[in-house]
Amino acid sequence: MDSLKIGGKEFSSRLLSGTGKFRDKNDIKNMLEHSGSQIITIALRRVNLDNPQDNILNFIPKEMTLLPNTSGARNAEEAVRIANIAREFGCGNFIKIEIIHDSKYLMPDNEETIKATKILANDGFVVLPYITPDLVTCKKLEDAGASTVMPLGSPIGSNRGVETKSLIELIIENSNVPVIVDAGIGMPSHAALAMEMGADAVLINTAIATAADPVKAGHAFSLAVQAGRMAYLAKIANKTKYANASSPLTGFLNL
Amino acid sequence: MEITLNNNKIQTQAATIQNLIDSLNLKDHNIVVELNLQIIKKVNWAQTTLHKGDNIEIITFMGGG
Repeated sequence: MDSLKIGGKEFSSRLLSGTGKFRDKNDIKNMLEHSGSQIITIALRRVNLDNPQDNILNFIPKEMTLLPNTSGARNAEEAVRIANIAREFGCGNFIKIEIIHDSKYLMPDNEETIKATKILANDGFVVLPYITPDLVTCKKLEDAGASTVMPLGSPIGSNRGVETKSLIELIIENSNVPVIVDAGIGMPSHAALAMEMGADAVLINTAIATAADPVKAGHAFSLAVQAGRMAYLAKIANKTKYANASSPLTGFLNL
Repeated sequence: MEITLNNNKIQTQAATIQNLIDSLNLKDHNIVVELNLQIIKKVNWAQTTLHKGDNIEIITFMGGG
């Protein structure tokens, strides 16, 4: 089977889904059924003491692998703290490192991410770091014990697609750990492109959660990821400058 | 006494973390508690006493990407 392997687990789905921004949390469960996602991101926040919300885990089937993120962390130390709190919930040891201190572009801090990865991987976490696409950073993350690398396609929630294509291609060509394109994927065609390029998976939240019909959107992205993966495995042809006739160039019926 | 709870100063009569959680009606919620940046395991809530000036964080999972 063509499975995605992370942290000793095997996944048949190559579409990771986020749970933020859903208008109706009941859509999350239906979306997950239709997207086939098996790895699901969640965030940690202070409880709103005036209005404690329903437990998000009530909307996520038990068999899913939870991937808490460290959003809100501005440096490695804060990310490590959040990761330890996440593990205390008893929902596994997967952690998405997300370290951001710029609210305009939400660009991750690669240097702090490497630091946090080293600490958390040594402490037994399965670390999935979210990064600005940079090959050198990816090699350092591998050395630090990262289980994947997750370069951004374009800024979080921007729906602009894989604007960092050539940088991600370098990473895919050289990575010894799965490459997951995270952030910015706005359309199924973007997801298919990432998979055709040879990405091992994609992580999508905004595009699905904010669609008028998140369930249908989840299904559409699932099909795109499968199509892109299949195209990659099929080694579908390269581009050429000039035309290559599809029909034979002999035996024309010229008068 | 005054403590800091989720970044707000509050007055509480709670003697232990368990008392505090109960007074906030959070005992059925999926939460993790930090006392002065140290995680306090649920089994230890009842025996962990609160002191003036303590910093308590009560954290939960939310939707996120």
